Amino acid sequence: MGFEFMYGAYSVAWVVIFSYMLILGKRHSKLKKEIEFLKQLEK
Amino acid sequence: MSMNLEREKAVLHGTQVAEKKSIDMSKILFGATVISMLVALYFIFIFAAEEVTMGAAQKIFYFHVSSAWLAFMAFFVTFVFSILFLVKRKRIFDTYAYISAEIGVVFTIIVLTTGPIWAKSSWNTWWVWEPRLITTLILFFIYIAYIMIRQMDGVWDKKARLAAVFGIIGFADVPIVFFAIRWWQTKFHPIVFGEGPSQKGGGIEGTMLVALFVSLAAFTILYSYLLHKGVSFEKMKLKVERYKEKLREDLEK
Repeated sequence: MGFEFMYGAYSVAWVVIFSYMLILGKRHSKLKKEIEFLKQLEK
Repeated sequence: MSMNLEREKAVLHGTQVAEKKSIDMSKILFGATVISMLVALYFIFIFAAEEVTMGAAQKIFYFHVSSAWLAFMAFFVTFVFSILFLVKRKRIFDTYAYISAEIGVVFTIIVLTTGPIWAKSSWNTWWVWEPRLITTLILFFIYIAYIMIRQMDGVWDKKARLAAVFGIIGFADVPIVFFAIRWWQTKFHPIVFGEGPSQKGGGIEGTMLVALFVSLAAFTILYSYLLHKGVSFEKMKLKVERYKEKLREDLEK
Protein backbone atom coordinates (compact mmCIF):
# COMPACT_ATOMS: atom_id res chain seq x y z
CA MET A 1 0.00 0.00 0.00
CA GLY A 2 1.36 3.40 -0.99
CA PHE A 3 4.40 1.96 -2.71
CA GLU A 4 3.98 4.16 -5.80
CA PHE A 5 4.15 7.30 -3.63
CA MET A 6 7.19 6.04 -1.76
CA TYR A 7 9.07 5.14 -4.95
CA GLY A 8 8.04 8.44 -6.55
CA ALA A 9 9.28 10.52 -3.62
CA TYR A 10 12.59 8.67 -3.25
CA SER A 11 13.22 8.82 -7.00
CA VAL A 12 12.65 12.58 -7.05
CA ALA A 13 14.93 13.07 -4.03
CA TRP A 14 17.80 11.08 -5.58
CA VAL A 15 17.39 12.75 -8.96
CA VAL A 16 17.68 16.19 -7.32
CA ILE A 17 20.72 15.16 -5.21
CA PHE A 18 22.55 13.57 -8.16
CA SER A 19 21.72 16.49 -10.45
CA TYR A 20 23.36 18.88 -7.98
CA MET A 21 26.39 16.61 -7.73
CA LEU A 22 26.55 16.56 -11.53
CA ILE A 23 26.48 20.37 -11.59
CA LEU A 24 29.38 20.41 -9.09
CA GLY A 25 31.25 17.91 -11.24
CA LYS A 26 30.77 20.06 -14.33
CA ARG A 27 32.10 23.10 -12.46
CA HIS A 28 35.17 21.08 -11.53
CA SER A 29 35.90 19.84 -15.05
CA LYS A 30 35.46 23.35 -16.42
CA LEU A 31 38.02 24.66 -13.92
CA LYS A 32 40.43 21.83 -14.71
CA LYS A 33 40.23 22.65 -18.41
CA GLU A 34 40.89 26.31 -17.65
CA ILE A 35 43.95 25.45 -15.54
CA GLU A 36 45.27 23.19 -18.30
CA PHE A 37 44.78 26.00 -20.81
CA LEU A 38 46.65 28.46 -18.59
CA LYS A 39 49.48 25.98 -18.18
CA GLN A 40 49.74 25.67 -21.95
CA LEU A 41 49.73 29.45 -22.23
CA GLU A 42 52.64 29.65 -19.78
CA LYS A 43 54.72 27.38 -21.99
CA MET B 1 57.30 39.03 -16.39
CA SER B 2 56.04 41.15 -13.54
CA MET B 3 56.38 40.19 -9.88
CA ASN B 4 52.61 40.15 -9.58
CA LEU B 5 52.23 37.54 -12.28
CA GLU B 6 54.98 35.41 -10.74
CA ARG B 7 53.12 35.53 -7.45
CA GLU B 8 49.82 34.60 -9.07
CA LYS B 9 51.53 31.79 -10.93
CA ALA B 10 52.82 30.44 -7.64
CA VAL B 11 49.30 30.69 -6.27
CA LEU B 12 47.97 28.78 -9.28
CA HIS B 13 50.52 26.03 -8.73
CA GLY B 14 49.60 26.13 -5.07
CA THR B 15 46.03 25.50 -6.21
CA GLN B 16 47.06 22.10 -7.48
CA VAL B 17 48.67 21.20 -4.15
CA ALA B 18 45.64 22.49 -2.27
CA GLU B 19 43.43 20.57 -4.67
CA LYS B 20 45.26 17.33 -3.82
CA LYS B 21 44.66 17.91 -0.11
CA SER B 22 41.07 18.82 -0.85
CA ILE B 23 40.62 15.63 -2.91
CA ASP B 24 41.75 13.55 0.09
CA MET B 25 39.25 15.29 2.35
CA SER B 26 36.59 14.96 -0.35
CA LYS B 27 37.24 11.22 -0.60
CA ILE B 28 36.86 10.80 3.16
CA LEU B 29 33.64 12.80 3.21
CA PHE B 30 32.32 11.02 0.12
CA GLY B 31 33.02 7.61 1.69
CA ALA B 32 31.33 8.69 4.92
CA THR B 33 28.33 9.96 2.94
CA VAL B 34 27.92 6.72 0.96
CA ILE B 35 28.22 4.54 4.07
CA SER B 36 25.88 6.70 6.17
CA MET B 37 23.31 6.83 3.33
CA LEU B 38 23.36 3.03 2.97
CA VAL B 39 22.95 2.66 6.73
CA ALA B 40 20.08 5.20 6.67
CA LEU B 41 18.34 3.29 3.84
CA TYR B 42 18.69 0.07 5.83
CA PHE B 43 17.13 1.72 8.89
CA ILE B 44 14.34 3.31 6.83
CA PHE B 45 13.31 0.30 4.74
CA ILE B 46 14.18 -2.69 6.92
CA PHE B 47 14.61 -1.64 10.53
CA ALA B 48 11.76 0.88 10.97
CA ALA B 49 8.26 -0.48 11.48
CA GLU B 50 5.68 0.16 8.77
CA GLU B 51 2.95 2.60 9.70
CA VAL B 52 -0.45 0.88 9.83
CA THR B 53 -2.65 3.52 8.15
CA MET B 54 -0.33 4.95 5.48
CA GLY B 55 1.75 1.87 4.76
CA ALA B 56 4.88 2.32 2.64
CA ALA B 57 4.06 5.96 1.81
CA GLN B 58 4.90 6.90 5.42
CA LYS B 59 8.56 6.16 4.64
CA ILE B 60 8.64 9.41 2.62
CA PHE B 61 8.71 11.09 6.05
CA TYR B 62 12.38 10.19 6.71
CA PHE B 63 13.77 11.86 3.58
CA HIS B 64 11.27 14.71 3.71
CA VAL B 65 12.11 15.67 7.31
CA SER B 66 15.86 15.11 6.80
CA SER B 67 15.84 17.35 3.71
CA ALA B 68 14.02 20.05 5.67
CA TRP B 69 16.56 19.70 8.47
CA LEU B 70 19.45 20.00 6.01
CA ALA B 71 17.89 23.05 4.33
CA PHE B 72 17.35 24.79 7.69
CA MET B 73 20.91 24.00 8.74
CA ALA B 74 22.25 25.27 5.40
CA PHE B 75 20.32 28.54 5.73
CA PHE B 76 21.56 28.91 9.31
CA VAL B 77 25.15 28.52 8.06
CA THR B 78 24.42 31.16 5.39
CA PHE B 79 23.04 33.43 8.13
CA VAL B 80 26.15 33.00 10.33
CA PHE B 81 28.64 33.44 7.47
CA SER B 82 26.73 36.44 6.13
CA ILE B 83 27.13 38.16 9.51
CA LEU B 84 30.80 37.16 9.61
CA PHE B 85 31.29 38.56 6.11
CA LEU B 86 29.69 41.89 6.98
CA VAL B 87 31.86 42.16 10.11
CA LYS B 88 35.22 40.89 8.79
CA ARG B 89 34.82 41.43 5.01
CA LYS B 90 36.69 38.23 4.15
CA ARG B 91 35.78 36.62 0.84
CA ILE B 92 35.92 33.08 2.25
CA PHE B 93 32.94 33.84 4.54
CA ASP B 94 30.98 34.99 1.53
CA THR B 95 31.89 31.80 -0.35
CA TYR B 96 30.66 29.61 2.52
CA ALA B 97 27.42 31.62 2.75
CA TYR B 98 26.80 31.31 -0.99
CA ILE B 99 27.50 27.58 -1.32
CA SER B 100 25.46 26.83 1.80
CA ALA B 101 22.49 28.80 0.41
CA GLU B 102 22.76 26.88 -2.84
CA ILE B 103 22.68 23.54 -1.00
CA GLY B 104 19.74 24.83 1.08
CA VAL B 105 17.80 25.61 -2.10
CA VAL B 106 18.53 22.14 -3.53
CA PHE B 107 17.13 20.47 -0.42
CA THR B 108 14.17 22.83 -0.23
CA ILE B 109 13.32 21.56 -3.73
CA ILE B 110 13.31 18.02 -2.29
CA VAL B 111 11.08 19.18 0.59
CA LEU B 112 8.69 20.88 -1.85
CA THR B 113 8.47 17.84 -4.13
CA THR B 114 8.33 15.00 -1.62
CA GLY B 115 5.81 16.99 0.47
CA PRO B 116 3.08 17.04 -2.21
CA ILE B 117 3.66 13.31 -2.91
CA TRP B 118 3.09 12.67 0.78
CA ALA B 119 0.08 15.02 0.69
CA LYS B 120 -1.49 13.15 -2.22
CA SER B 121 -1.15 9.82 -0.43
CA SER B 122 -2.24 11.12 2.94
CA TRP B 123 -4.58 14.08 2.33
CA ASN B 124 -5.68 13.13 -1.20
CA THR B 125 -4.54 16.47 -2.60
CA TRP B 126 -1.17 17.63 -3.96
CA TRP B 127 -1.18 21.03 -2.32
CA VAL B 128 -3.03 22.84 0.46
CA TRP B 129 -2.58 26.53 1.20
CA GLU B 130 -1.76 26.02 4.86
CA PRO B 131 0.82 27.98 6.93
CA ARG B 132 3.74 25.55 6.77
CA LEU B 133 3.50 24.99 3.03
CA ILE B 134 3.13 28.69 2.29
CA THR B 135 6.05 29.71 4.53
CA THR B 136 8.24 26.97 3.01
CA LEU B 137 7.42 28.20 -0.49
CA ILE B 138 8.30 31.76 0.60
CA LEU B 139 11.59 30.45 2.04
CA PHE B 140 12.37 28.84 -1.30
CA PHE B 141 11.71 32.08 -3.20
CA ILE B 142 13.79 34.12 -0.74
CA TYR B 143 16.86 31.97 -1.36
CA ILE B 144 16.20 31.78 -5.10
CA ALA B 145 16.37 35.59 -4.98
CA TYR B 146 19.59 35.30 -2.96
CA ILE B 147 21.16 33.16 -5.69
CA MET B 148 19.88 35.54 -8.38
CA ILE B 149 21.65 38.41 -6.61
CA ARG B 150 24.85 36.39 -6.86
CA GLN B 151 24.38 35.90 -10.60
CA MET B 152 23.89 39.62 -11.27
CA ASP B 153 26.43 41.67 -13.16
CA GLY B 154 28.39 44.14 -11.11
CA VAL B 155 31.14 44.62 -8.59
CA TRP B 156 31.73 41.53 -6.49
CA ASP B 157 31.90 43.38 -3.17
CA LYS B 158 28.58 45.14 -3.71
CA LYS B 159 26.82 41.93 -4.69
CA ALA B 160 28.29 40.09 -1.71
CA ARG B 161 27.14 42.79 0.71
CA LEU B 162 23.64 42.82 -0.73
CA ALA B 163 23.47 39.01 -0.67
CA ALA B 164 24.73 38.96 2.93
CA VAL B 165 21.95 41.32 4.03
CA PHE B 166 19.48 39.14 2.14
CA GLY B 167 20.91 36.00 3.78
CA ILE B 168 20.47 37.51 7.23
CA ILE B 169 16.95 38.84 6.72
CA GLY B 170 15.86 35.73 4.78
CA PHE B 171 16.78 33.50 7.69
CA ALA B 172 13.93 35.07 9.69
CA ASP B 173 11.57 32.82 7.70
CA VAL B 174 13.19 29.61 8.99
CA PRO B 175 11.79 29.78 12.56
CA ILE B 176 8.45 30.89 11.06
CA VAL B 177 8.37 27.70 8.95
CA PHE B 178 9.24 25.60 11.99
CA PHE B 179 6.71 27.18 14.35
CA ALA B 180 3.97 27.68 11.72
CA ILE B 181 2.09 24.55 12.77
CA ARG B 182 2.39 25.51 16.42
CA TRP B 183 1.33 29.14 16.01
CA TRP B 184 -1.57 28.65 13.60
CA GLN B 185 -4.36 26.13 13.67
CA THR B 186 -3.63 23.44 11.13
CA LYS B 187 -5.13 20.01 10.73
CA PHE B 188 -2.69 18.86 8.05
CA HIS B 189 0.84 18.89 9.42
CA PRO B 190 1.02 16.78 12.56
CA ILE B 191 3.17 17.94 15.48
CA VAL B 192 5.47 15.01 16.10
CA PHE B 193 7.41 16.47 19.01
CA GLY B 194 5.86 18.66 21.71
CA GLU B 195 2.40 20.18 21.85
CA GLY B 196 0.59 22.81 19.82
CA PRO B 197 -2.74 24.62 19.71
CA SER B 198 -4.26 22.22 17.19
CA GLN B 199 -3.24 18.90 18.58
CA LYS B 200 -1.01 17.20 21.06
CA GLY B 201 2.34 15.88 19.93
CA GLY B 202 1.55 12.49 18.46
CA GLY B 203 4.97 11.09 19.19
CA ILE B 204 6.70 8.53 17.05
CA GLU B 205 7.25 4.80 17.40
CA GLY B 206 10.69 3.73 18.73
CA THR B 207 12.14 2.14 15.58
CA MET B 208 10.83 5.01 13.44
CA LEU B 209 12.54 7.52 15.72
CA VAL B 210 15.86 5.65 15.41
CA ALA B 211 15.50 5.58 11.60
CA LEU B 212 14.75 9.31 11.60
CA PHE B 213 17.86 10.14 13.64
CA VAL B 214 20.08 7.92 11.47
CA SER B 215 18.65 9.63 8.40
CA LEU B 216 19.27 13.08 9.92
CA ALA B 217 22.88 12.11 10.63
CA ALA B 218 23.35 10.83 7.04
CA PHE B 219 21.98 14.08 5.61
CA THR B 220 24.25 16.13 7.87
CA ILE B 221 27.28 14.23 6.52
CA LEU B 222 25.99 14.72 2.96
CA TYR B 223 25.74 18.44 3.68
CA SER B 224 29.34 18.65 4.89
CA TYR B 225 30.49 16.79 1.76
CA LEU B 226 28.60 19.09 -0.61
CA LEU B 227 29.72 22.21 1.27
CA HIS B 228 33.35 21.12 1.23
CA LYS B 229 33.21 20.29 -2.48
CA GLY B 230 31.40 23.50 -3.43
CA VAL B 231 33.71 25.75 -1.40
CA SER B 232 36.89 24.12 -2.75
CA PHE B 233 35.69 24.68 -6.34
CA GLU B 234 34.85 28.30 -5.59
CA LYS B 235 38.31 28.83 -4.09
CA MET B 236 39.92 27.28 -7.16
CA LYS B 237 37.77 29.42 -9.45
CA LEU B 238 38.82 32.53 -7.59
CA LYS B 239 42.52 31.71 -7.91
CA VAL B 240 42.18 31.00 -11.64
CA GLU B 241 40.33 34.30 -12.14
CA ARG B 242 43.00 36.24 -10.25
CA TYR B 243 45.73 34.62 -12.30
CA LYS B 244 43.93 35.41 -15.57
CA GLU B 245 43.52 39.02 -14.48
CA LYS B 246 47.21 39.38 -13.73
CA LEU B 247 48.09 37.69 -16.99
CA ARG B 248 45.90 40.16 -18.86
CA GLU B 249 47.52 43.10 -17.02
CA ASP B 250 50.96 41.75 -17.82
CA LEU B 251 50.16 41.33 -21.51
CA GLU B 252 48.81 44.87 -21.73
CA LYS B 253 52.08 46.33 -20.40
